[in-house]
Amino acid sequence: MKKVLIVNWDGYPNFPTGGIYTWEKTLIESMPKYEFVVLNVLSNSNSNSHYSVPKNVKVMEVPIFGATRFEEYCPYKYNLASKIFRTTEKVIKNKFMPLYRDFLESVFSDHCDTDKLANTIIALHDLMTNYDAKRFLQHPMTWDIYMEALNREPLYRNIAFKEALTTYQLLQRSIQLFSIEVPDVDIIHCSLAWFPSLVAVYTKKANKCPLIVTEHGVAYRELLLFYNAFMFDEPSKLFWKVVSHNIVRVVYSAADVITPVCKANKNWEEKLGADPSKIKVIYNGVNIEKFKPMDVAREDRRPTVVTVARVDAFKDIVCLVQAVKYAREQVPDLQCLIYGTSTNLDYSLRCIRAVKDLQLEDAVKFMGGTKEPEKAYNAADAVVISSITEGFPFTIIEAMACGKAIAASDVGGVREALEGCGILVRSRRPRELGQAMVNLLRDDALRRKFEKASIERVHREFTLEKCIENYKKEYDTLISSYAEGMVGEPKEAIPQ
Amino acid sequence: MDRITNESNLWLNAVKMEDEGNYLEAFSFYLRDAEGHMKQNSFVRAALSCSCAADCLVKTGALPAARQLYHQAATIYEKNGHYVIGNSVREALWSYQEAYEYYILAYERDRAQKVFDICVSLARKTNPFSGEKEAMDSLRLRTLELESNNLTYTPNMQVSSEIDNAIVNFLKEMEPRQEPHAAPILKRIFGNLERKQDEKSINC
Repeated sequence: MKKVLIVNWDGYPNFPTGGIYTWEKTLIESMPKYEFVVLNVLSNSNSNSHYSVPKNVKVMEVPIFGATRFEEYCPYKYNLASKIFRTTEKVIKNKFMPLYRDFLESVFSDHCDTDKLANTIIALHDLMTNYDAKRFLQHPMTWDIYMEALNREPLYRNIAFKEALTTYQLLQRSIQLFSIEVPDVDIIHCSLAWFPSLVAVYTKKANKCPLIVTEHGVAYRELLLFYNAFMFDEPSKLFWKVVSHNIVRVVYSAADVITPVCKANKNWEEKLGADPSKIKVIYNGVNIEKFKPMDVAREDRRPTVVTVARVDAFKDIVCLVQAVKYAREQVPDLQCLIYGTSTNLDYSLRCIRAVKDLQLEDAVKFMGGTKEPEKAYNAADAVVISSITEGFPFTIIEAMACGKAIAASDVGGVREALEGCGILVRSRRPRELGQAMVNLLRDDALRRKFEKASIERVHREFTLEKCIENYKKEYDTLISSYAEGMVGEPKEAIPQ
Repeated sequence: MDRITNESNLWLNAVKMEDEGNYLEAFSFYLRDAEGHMKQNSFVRAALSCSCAADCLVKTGALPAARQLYHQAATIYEKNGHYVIGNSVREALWSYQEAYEYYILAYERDRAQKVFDICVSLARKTNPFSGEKEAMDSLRLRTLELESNNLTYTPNMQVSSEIDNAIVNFLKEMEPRQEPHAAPILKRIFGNLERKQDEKSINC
């Protein structure tokens, strides 16, 4: 049985929401002939640990802020005591600190050599598995070296102290990931290109195995949105942009194949420095047995639009609420049902306030999460998406499979999915989105045309079988080419 | 209205003189304007006046003296870049671009190259999709046709020494003022806190 290492960040199986979770769960459940080791790096140490996974799945949860020694989360043998004793002051100064300095120099640089950075990561991993990572990273010299590296750059020299300290802590935690030992695997599959994926960089080297990176929402794009929205200190913002870019580039560079879920992501990846010859778009797929047109009992016959999306800023639910207000100027009895949970209390409160301020209490209903999204779609006259960023959203192809006409913001891969099957509007344009809803609800012929085209398109392009088949093909091709020594170094057989 | 019609405004007088073709007078006004603005810590304005003074000297054919002032303008722009980088990366980038151009005009290729490197590095940081070529394109290389200039006027010895004296005095005035360096983090925290607004954070 071939073994796959999946690298996640706040994903399957601990966080059962969102497109990446759906994709990964489906992928794993559709490949019973593979054994999966899921490394889930968790940013919240109190995240859900109650889940069930198939028998062929082992999970390694690593709470990035929950421990100072990640060895305790490794289900494999290790001898911590001897590691601690071995980690003398001399080892720290002579072996660790030069590598630590090299790592910072590379990630802070605006012309980072990704090969050099990858080698430093591999060397750090080798060192941190033989010695005590905690003693390395808690040594006061790390702070001095870090400050030295910041002070070398005129821009970084101006980072506010509080920011510098936070950044130091985040980097220390991220470097600690290099102490994670994963079992021997035949292939690595990362669900994003960000810090957790650096584990894949050294595992690939140690296992002489291939690496696939599948990006759903291009981590770098979402990080940019985050930095621009929440960081007001310009030097810190630019610092994080540079660091993130370097991390993303080293992951791309280590990958054998990059499989974005849409062409929009491919464009980003190419611009960020990924080798175009490595990129193969694999669209997400939908289970057409589950998602299909069906009769669903409705509470009333009011014109109804539905969205299935998390209540968070990236989904721009506030814009959706405003769009409903505009749409009701022409369709006064329109109602909008929002199916989705929230992990952001502040944003949820903003949405509720927007509903109240616009006096839409009887028109916009927060339905919470649903385990039966197919029923939610089928209870709608049209489906609406207001996101400001997307990969290749499941909600679009699921709604299409249910034969629904869609009004959506033109972001990420939405255009590729929807092509001729719905109305696209610019993101953050509530008036345009409202008008699109009105057009779909008022024009029966247009709606029917989209409904028919949607089903045909999903059945032709975006079935689950097709998607899984593409990944299987990639796994098999890469594993066999590595085994035959056609790519990378020749691989010895893994003892079963 | 006063500000734009004020007869004692050095800048307006300089512009007027320049328009009338009285370059030496214009040079003198620009230089005094630069000096005044340096005293007020208006570095960009001082650099601008300094470069205008240099432009006037070029028109009179006093090229070595002009180069001295271009060098001075470049230095002020460069230091302004260092000074503002923590508050406005865009202004810093612009300031470095100006410095680069004036170092070129001052025939100081090495220093121009150093500033160019800073510029490219900063441009790359601000735009992850920008490579060296794009950064280079953003630097408009101002071509001064010094050699091909059809110079119609060469200053006599007395005028030349006046220019030299004015420049020497100006440079003397500049010396103690030109250290608007941003202090490193640790110095700012544990030493003299010169700019309180540095303690911004994502939570603010």
